[in-house]
Amino acid sequence: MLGIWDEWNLFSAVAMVLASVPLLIMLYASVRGHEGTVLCMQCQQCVAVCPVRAEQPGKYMGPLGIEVMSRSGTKKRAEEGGLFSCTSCMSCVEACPRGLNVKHDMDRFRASLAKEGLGQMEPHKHIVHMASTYGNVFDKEPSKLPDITTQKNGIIKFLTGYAKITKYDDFKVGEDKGDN
Amino acid sequence: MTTRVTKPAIKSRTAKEWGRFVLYEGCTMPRRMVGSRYTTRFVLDKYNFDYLSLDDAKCCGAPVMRSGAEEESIKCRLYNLDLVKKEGVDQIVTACPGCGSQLKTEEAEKMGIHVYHLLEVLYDLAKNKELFQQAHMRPIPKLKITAHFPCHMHRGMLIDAHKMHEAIVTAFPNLEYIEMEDPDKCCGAGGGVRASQKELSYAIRRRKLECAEATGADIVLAACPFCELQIDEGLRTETKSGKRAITPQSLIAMFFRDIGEEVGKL
Repeated sequence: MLGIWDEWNLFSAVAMVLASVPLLIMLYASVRGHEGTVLCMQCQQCVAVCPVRAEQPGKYMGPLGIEVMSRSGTKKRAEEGGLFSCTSCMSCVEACPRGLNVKHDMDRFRASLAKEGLGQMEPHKHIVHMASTYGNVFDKEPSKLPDITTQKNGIIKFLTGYAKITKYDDFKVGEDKGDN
Repeated sequence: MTTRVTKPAIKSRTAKEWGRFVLYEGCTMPRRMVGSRYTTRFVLDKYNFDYLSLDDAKCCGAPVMRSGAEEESIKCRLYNLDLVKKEGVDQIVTACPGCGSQLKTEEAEKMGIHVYHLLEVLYDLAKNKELFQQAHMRPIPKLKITAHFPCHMHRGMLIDAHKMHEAIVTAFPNLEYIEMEDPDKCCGAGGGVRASQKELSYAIRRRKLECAEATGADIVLAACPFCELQIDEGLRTETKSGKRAITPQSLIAMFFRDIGEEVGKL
């Protein structure tokens, strides 16, 4: 038979173990740089506004999934849940009543997946390669900005299109048109 | 840890009060959307802003971050901020919200660098009644204008897109501003999704096109070169309305009588 004092000690020990679970989760998440995720209370406000989730409700895990999985570090499931499908629109950030920066958590979680060869598709690898090699994500040429005078033909093409939609019927390059 | 900067923008400034700033052009505008690149510079010149563009500027790192390379992305950001600092300038203006939201961080604030979107510059001109230049502009045509609020501008850079678009459009006679339903809903291009998952990107875009179409507007403003590309392509290929998407600076630039002459001088 346990005495009242022993029962109290047992109760305290159990309570201490239970109370330390969230702290351990917080510690684990914070060691991995995902400390913000522990504040998520799974209210689903973010899910309601996510445009990707609206398109792929059964496939995409949504911002809530990003928070929960980045907290627990379940990378393979995050890859399958479409972590790289997020458009980073930040609707979830705006909707979160606790002000969690889901985009930041998503970016960091993507990086931790990519380090293990998960989630990244060829276009993502291409973007990283281009930016680190050529200083931009489009052209394989020296990283200096293109001289605008070399883009004259392209600019004229764009401006001709703009003229049509702004009802600038007599727009011509090289001439001063339109009366005030 | 969050890196978002939530300080409100300072009060309206004239072109002179803006002082010197670096025009950060990013990747999309100077390499793909060259029309907007030109009109950005054209508009800044027309309103006598003191700016410089840095030839050595590189990718801001935003698409790199979305592609799963956080460390590389931060290096890109710091490289560009250092470049600006070396020029002795403490302001960056960009017409790309993706770049703006990538650069407008606590790191920039610590370096004493303030990052703005071009829309804030145009808004100041509108507030100071300098935007409509009757003497230099052709008669403004009757146009109905709606606007998409780019995610990284509205939520990333925390800019009041509604207030600014409305003020800029209504600064001109004959222009009518019509707000679309869900103006701040994503166009589907960001996060590397347009590059990696076209179908998903286009499916998200469809909703944006429906909202834009429902307004009956002639023009959809997209204050982001990547959103401009995405929405304009959608309007041309998926609708028969003849509507187009352009950046606000392109709309304004086309009102100047001498734009054709000026582009001819390039």
